[in-house]
Amino acid sequence: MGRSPLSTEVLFHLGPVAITSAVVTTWAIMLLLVLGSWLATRRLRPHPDRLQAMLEVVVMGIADQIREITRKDGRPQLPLLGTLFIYLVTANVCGLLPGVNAPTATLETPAALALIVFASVHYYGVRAHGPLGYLAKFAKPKLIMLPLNILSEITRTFSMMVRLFGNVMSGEFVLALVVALAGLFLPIPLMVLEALVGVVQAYIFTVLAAVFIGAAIGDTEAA
Amino acid sequence: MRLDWSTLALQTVNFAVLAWLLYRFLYRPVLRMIDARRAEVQKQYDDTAKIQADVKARLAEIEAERSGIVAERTATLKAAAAQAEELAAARRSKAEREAGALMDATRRTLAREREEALAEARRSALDLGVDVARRLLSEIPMESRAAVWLDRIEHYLAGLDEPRRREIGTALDGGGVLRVVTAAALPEGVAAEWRRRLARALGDGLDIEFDTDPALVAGAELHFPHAILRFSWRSALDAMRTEIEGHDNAG
Repeated sequence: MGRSPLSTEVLFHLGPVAITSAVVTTWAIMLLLVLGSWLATRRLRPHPDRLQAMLEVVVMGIADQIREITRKDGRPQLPLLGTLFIYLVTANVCGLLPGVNAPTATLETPAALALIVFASVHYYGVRAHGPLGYLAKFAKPKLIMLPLNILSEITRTFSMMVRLFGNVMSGEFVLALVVALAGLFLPIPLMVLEALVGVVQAYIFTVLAAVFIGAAIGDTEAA
Repeated sequence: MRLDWSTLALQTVNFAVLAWLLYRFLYRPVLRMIDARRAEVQKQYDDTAKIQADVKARLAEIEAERSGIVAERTATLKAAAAQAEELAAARRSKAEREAGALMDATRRTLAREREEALAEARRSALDLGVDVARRLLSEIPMESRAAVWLDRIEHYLAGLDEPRRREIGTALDGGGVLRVVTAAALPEGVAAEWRRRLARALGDGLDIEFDTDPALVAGAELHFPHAILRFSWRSALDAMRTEIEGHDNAG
């Protein structure tokens, strides 16, 4: 643990592009998730076995959660929000593995996710109500609120990013300190707690993204 | 702390790719399977609902048919009862007519038989009367009976007008024979008395013959060549019998 936890470790370069450990870990997570999905869904049957039933419960659970938050059919947002939750859980928890750093513990990954959420919110808003109709909602309830609303759009996305980054990074930082100070087995409860924190943070990030998207769709409709 | 923009871009692209791959290999297959199962369930539900609707419709049809059958049965029974009543009334009317006709025929038969019996009784009574009269007459001496008949003949001939008497005499003048027929033969003395008194009434030179015919019962008949004068009971009885039969035919 000779480097700062806030620093990004560059593993190699692809031309001018530096490939950091977070990117490599993300690729590994992508490979794991895609391969696992392919293996799990290649032989789906009308009468599901346990694995298929679990998959259906997870997918439909996420879709139902999105529907409850946005009060609309959750399937259009399922690829974005479902992938967000699954990736965040995997990424947050993988930091507990020896020698692996969680991608979300570096600032670039939460920033990328926040950026995607930010773009998606406005994409769904514009698609649902048109550019002018969506832009008009920023001037409500009064025109004077326009700068504040725009600022709020940026700050809430920024807060999402910082919250995720801060929680995961701090958890890993504390866990590294405990391991360094107390030995190998003592930090196990802390690791369990860190896994729980990782799941909760993934849930919070996803739910906030769903709330923002639902607000973008629903606010304009209500108006 | 520094933001690595290339890592930021790579992670953004990575996430987008991951979302597409998971959509391709996770969400879409699972959702498709769930949709297929839901469609199958919905299809089964629709089929069940359709079967239920069909069963309900069939039940309604059966109920309607049953109601129709009941109504038809009631109408048929009603029609049959009306037809039976009409048939019974017709038969009763026919029976009444036949009974009336039979009674009329019986009445006519009885009346005819009664008339026939009455006529037969009259004829029997007449025959009986004739027998009784014949027996009673047989107890009266022939002379007495012949005198009465002769008086009656004389009285009749005396009552004839002249042209009629002359016509009778002319019929006898040409050699004609007057034949006197009686029910029983007249004694010789009585016959002579008859010759004398008939000659006085019809003229002398008469050729008189006597003959008998028990069918006359009593009295006598004068048979001229072209006419007969009847003073016998047979003629009276024939008149009575004719009157009785004429009465019977009228009845």
